[in-house]
Amino acid sequence: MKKTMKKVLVLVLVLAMVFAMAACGKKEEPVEEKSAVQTAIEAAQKMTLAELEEAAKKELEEHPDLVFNADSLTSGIKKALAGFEKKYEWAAGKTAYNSKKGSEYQPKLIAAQKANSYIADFVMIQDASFLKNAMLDTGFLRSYVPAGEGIEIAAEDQNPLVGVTFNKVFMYDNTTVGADQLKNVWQMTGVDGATLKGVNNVSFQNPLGEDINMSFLIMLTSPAACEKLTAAYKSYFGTDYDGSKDDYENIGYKFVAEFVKNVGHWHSSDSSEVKKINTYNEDGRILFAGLCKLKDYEFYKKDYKDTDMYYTKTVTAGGWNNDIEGFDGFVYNMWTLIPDTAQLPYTACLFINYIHSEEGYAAGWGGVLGYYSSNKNIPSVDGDPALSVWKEQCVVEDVEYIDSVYATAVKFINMQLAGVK
Amino acid sequence: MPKIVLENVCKRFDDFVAVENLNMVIEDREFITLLGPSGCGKTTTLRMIAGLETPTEGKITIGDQVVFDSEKGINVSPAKRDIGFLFQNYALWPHMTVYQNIAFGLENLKWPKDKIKERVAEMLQMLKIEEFEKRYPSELSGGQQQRVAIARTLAPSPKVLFMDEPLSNLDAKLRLEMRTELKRLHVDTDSTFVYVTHDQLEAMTLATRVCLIKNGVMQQYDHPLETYSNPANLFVADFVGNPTMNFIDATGKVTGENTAELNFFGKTFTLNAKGGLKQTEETEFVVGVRPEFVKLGEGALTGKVYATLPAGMETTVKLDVDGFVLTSVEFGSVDYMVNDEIPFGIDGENVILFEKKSGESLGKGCVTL
Amino acid sequence: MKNKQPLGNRLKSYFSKPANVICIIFLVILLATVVLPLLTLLIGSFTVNGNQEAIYIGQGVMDGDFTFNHWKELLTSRDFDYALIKFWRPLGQSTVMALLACLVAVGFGGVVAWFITRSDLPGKQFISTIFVFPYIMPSWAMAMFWENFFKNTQINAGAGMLEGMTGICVPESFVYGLFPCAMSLGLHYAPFAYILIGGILRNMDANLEEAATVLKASRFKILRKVTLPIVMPALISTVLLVFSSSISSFTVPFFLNKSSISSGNNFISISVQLRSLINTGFTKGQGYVLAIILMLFSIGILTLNNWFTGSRKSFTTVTGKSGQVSLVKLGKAKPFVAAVLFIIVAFFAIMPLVSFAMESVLEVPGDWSTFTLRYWLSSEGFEGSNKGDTIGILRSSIMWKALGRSLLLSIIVSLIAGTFGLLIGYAVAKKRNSKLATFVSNLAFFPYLIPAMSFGAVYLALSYTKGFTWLDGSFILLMLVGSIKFMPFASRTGTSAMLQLSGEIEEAAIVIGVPWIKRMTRVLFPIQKASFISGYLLPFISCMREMSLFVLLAASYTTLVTTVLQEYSRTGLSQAANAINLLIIVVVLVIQFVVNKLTGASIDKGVGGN
Repeated sequence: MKKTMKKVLVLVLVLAMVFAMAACGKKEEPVEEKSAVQTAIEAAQKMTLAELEEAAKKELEEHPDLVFNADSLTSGIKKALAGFEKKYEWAAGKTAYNSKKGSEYQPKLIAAQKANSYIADFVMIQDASFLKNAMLDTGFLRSYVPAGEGIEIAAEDQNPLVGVTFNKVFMYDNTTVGADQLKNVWQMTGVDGATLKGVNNVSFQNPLGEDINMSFLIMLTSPAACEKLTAAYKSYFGTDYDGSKDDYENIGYKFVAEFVKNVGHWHSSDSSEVKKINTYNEDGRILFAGLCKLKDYEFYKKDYKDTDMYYTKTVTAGGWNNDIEGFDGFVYNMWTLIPDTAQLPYTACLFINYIHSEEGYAAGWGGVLGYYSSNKNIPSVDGDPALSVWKEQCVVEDVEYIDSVYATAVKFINMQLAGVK
Repeated sequence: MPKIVLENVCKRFDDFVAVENLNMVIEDREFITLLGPSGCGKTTTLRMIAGLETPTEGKITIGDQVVFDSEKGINVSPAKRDIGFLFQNYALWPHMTVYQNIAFGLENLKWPKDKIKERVAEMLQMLKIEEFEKRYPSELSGGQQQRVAIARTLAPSPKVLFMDEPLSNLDAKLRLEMRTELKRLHVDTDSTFVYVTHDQLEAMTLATRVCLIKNGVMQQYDHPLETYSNPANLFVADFVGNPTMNFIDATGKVTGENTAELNFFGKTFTLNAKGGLKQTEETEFVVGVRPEFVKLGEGALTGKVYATLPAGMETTVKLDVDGFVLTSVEFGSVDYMVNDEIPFGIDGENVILFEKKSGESLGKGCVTL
Repeated sequence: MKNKQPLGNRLKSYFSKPANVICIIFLVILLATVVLPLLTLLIGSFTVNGNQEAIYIGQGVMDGDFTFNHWKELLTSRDFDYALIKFWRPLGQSTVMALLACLVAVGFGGVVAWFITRSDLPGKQFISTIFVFPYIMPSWAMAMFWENFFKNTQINAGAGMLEGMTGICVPESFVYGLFPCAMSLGLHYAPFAYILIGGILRNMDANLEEAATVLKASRFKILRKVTLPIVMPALISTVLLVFSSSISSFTVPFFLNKSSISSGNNFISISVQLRSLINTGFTKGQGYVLAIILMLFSIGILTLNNWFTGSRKSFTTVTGKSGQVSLVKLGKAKPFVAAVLFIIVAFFAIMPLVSFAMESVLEVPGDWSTFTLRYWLSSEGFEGSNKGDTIGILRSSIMWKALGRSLLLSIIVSLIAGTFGLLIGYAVAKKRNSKLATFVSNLAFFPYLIPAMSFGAVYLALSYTKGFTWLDGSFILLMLVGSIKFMPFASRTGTSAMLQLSGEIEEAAIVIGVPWIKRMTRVLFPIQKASFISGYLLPFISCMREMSLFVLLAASYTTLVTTVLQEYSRTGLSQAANAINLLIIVVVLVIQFVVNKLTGASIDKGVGGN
């Protein structure tokens, strides 16, 4: 009895020490030399595809106990991994997909970065501000630029490397709302223009729970967005915007303030809201949601080919307007990066190469609206405008800009959300 | 065979002293009662001997074994003291049947099955509860539960049995009955009993020796009749005996080795103590007279009848003597009219003289005018 | 004088008592597992957490530097009315919401508890059984049901059930905002009040009330002067639990905050702000400040609770001598009261389940022509599905594996947490007046007050520390965290159950030499079996449906059923997510039923004995 007590006591003490050590957390001196991953990426950068394949294969064979861990918040990676395993038989059964939601994954990334520990071999994340400050500036996530036949990545998408681009647009139920209801973004401030009426049925996911929407609102204050807003303002109200009449920093802040105040409904999930798009009467709702959420439509259409049920019920229904004055929506990125502590860097490079190739992209995101590869040679699906068109017509996420105004803009938006005058 | 010795046992809870420097020897096969008002430390003392409470200081020996010694750091667990303990609330295990309650301790002592069966049967028979073997405690009356508790305690044949007010939850009739049983059991089991109670009658009738405790300090440790007729101080004199002793304030002085001159009831008395008196310079005293020594009907004193309380076998008469209510007990049934003036006297050799200041007894004797 | 005994001897004698050993062991365990996360929070509120914060604060501070900025900023900043928006107003509103929720929980749960324990109401068993359903469901289930029931076309939210059945359209403030949040939370936690208050009422000596009746006190007066003071400690306990749960509940206020800002119903709770602060790179420290302040609130109530129960130290010691409980005769009102109670209880207990079931079989919510069982039975894969992932949850081997893992985890966690709670209860009961025991018992309640996210984050940091990386995503880590996080329920139940046992029950066994382990297993546990098993069931239920804590810590090879649920809902298969929810509830009910049949214990018998 007493002996067991003693053992328990010792165990507990050890545990306490363990925690104490963990709590203190060793701060390691920044390492000046290049990390193994960095060296590997640089080497991979110089290899041909065949050489890279060889290197990855060798790496996996040398570490039979390791599994290629890919962390991502989009399940496209899951499908891409399946395709990857099919293409490279030697990788079969040696990959794992870990589904990670942004807000839950960020603490993990930070913990891993601080401890300089292994977290995964490959990560796909969003949230520009976090990426820049916590991951890029600390050198924890690194970019490998895929190259090879048919792969062409724009210079601005290379570092950090954009994996897949997404967009959120203003959608509505065609049968009740109609494409002609929303023609100018200023309608969404609820004020009537010279020819168009203001709308008050916009449904928007709360930015306090959805960082993409927060990024969108922040980007609305950027010079590029302001330019679009100014032109649309003129067209809507017939006069030029006169910034001296109010104390907003620029027209973007004005729009954000008025838009937020006019949002008629704050939904909690884009996916479930898209499904309910046709259930509202009269004016319906104008839903700001990911275009890719209409993938449900694409998917179910196949299932209900004969009855066309889902099609009629919901998404025939779902339309979006490609020529709203001002902007059509928001274009944002998910980056595909390699942690500095990755154990299988060559495999990671090869996988990144794969998802940027036509074959790999098709496996992960092919055939669905609202997904766009950063590989310029891969077109968007039929019926969906090209990414370049979207970028033209939308507010485009800019890591540097978001980072530069982040704190002020977020505070401003918080104030609007709280409805404080 | 065990003799229990307590040496300088103290128990403090933070600043509160529960038991102060207790020295006591309990001889083998004695039936000791620890008597005192609630909160006086008697239960604590019992629990310390049993090992359920750890003394702050001191030494306790049971038989040849030192079971507790604060200086040597000895503290033998209750299980190894070979004792039995009977709790005030019986503490029967409600989820076990009567049989299981009794057998559990024996199983624990690794008795063979058939022996257990035999012993439980013996116990059930001894306490006349055979028919309840399969019942649960909640299905028994208070008295039956008490018997089960006793059977459970006695089953392993402990050499010492501790009892903490075991009869306080029973009604008056049952209590009397159980008292007899306990006294019988004491003889039958041939073991030492230590018994806690705040009921002086119980203490008197059961014990071979009574230990009176007040505020954690032992007042007197003696045979019951000794505590009755020779109380060591006012506290004991007051606590023992029912109706209680008459305490009459007196002035005067100790005049000799055996004599004292005392003024009370407006008269001067002489106290003659055969056994001698403790000498003192004090002039204030308390004269203790047991009610049975107040003889009504004849004597040099008079009092007015305040109330008469006949109980059949005896009658308690309350007399008003110059505003002091004096209690008298007469054998048989006597009746006086209220407010009757009647003569009375103080009889016998057992009038006790206490020093008022200290409350200590100085001696006893007879008083004469 | 006092130190006459040598130290060694005193230590030896101290440690010869199991209660002391338990106290010390748990002191160390809790210091390590609870105080360290607390300290981390506290330190985090005074340091720069990451580069984003450093840039935000400016003035050349670096990651890890000491700063007062978080406190100053959150509590006083007037920049964009920041402090008001992020802290003061949400705090005020959330306090109102939490108090309202307490009122609903205590009112509803308390009234039902009184009827069940004190009156001759028919159908008690049934009401008692289903009354705890809302607690078994996740808290947002009630919120979802509330919305589905009350939403209407007048507020452009589609027709809800009420409108569908009666055409009544309730105002928007009834569907979204502070009021429905309070109602959903109150209804969700009402079973808590029922269990705690019911436990006391059940064990309360009927004589106390009868004595008052004899004295011709009016029924109301009895309630106010006799019953209420006796149940006060349980009441305070309920308020404490409901208040701290409500004020830190994220999902419900987030889900029901759908009104436009101009409507005035828009309600951003303190917990939503907390989440947004912690998840925003430059305000993590402020998030910690907020978490600490919320904890201080709860500590305040905890102190109040201790003060109350402290002054009624012996309030429920049951010696087993209690007589018959006489029930209040409802008389003519009986059928009416029974019907009303039955309808209300059944409505809030069963309707959400029905609503789940419906959502899981309808392609388009509310449209029966789209009825389908594919989210239960289809073996097809879905967009982004892996091998084994199917649309129909019952066909998904991944779901079954995760369910199995969740069950295993919950069982282990409940065994550990339940046993810990029981031991802590034992130590507290044995050492009633000891400061150490009170401290340990209060400490054991702390995990309840630390937000799951920050609690998880500390263990996450541990699992990334060199030498402990084997913990990362491991089952052991989940076990450890779960056991600590859910211990408060068990320690509360364990303590009250142990306090009800008179010390003599154990001493009777000590005297005959029964060793400690045997005393626990053969004597103490069986007597208060029902209560102790509640102490095991509550952590089990909480663990089965816990999401935010485990999502942070689980890895792909330790996927839990809640992670799968989240995965389905993220993929847009909300029907399948609802189906899993229903499945979890059914599994919990089945297990509770089995435990009930095997042991006679159930959570509704709960805290405070049988």
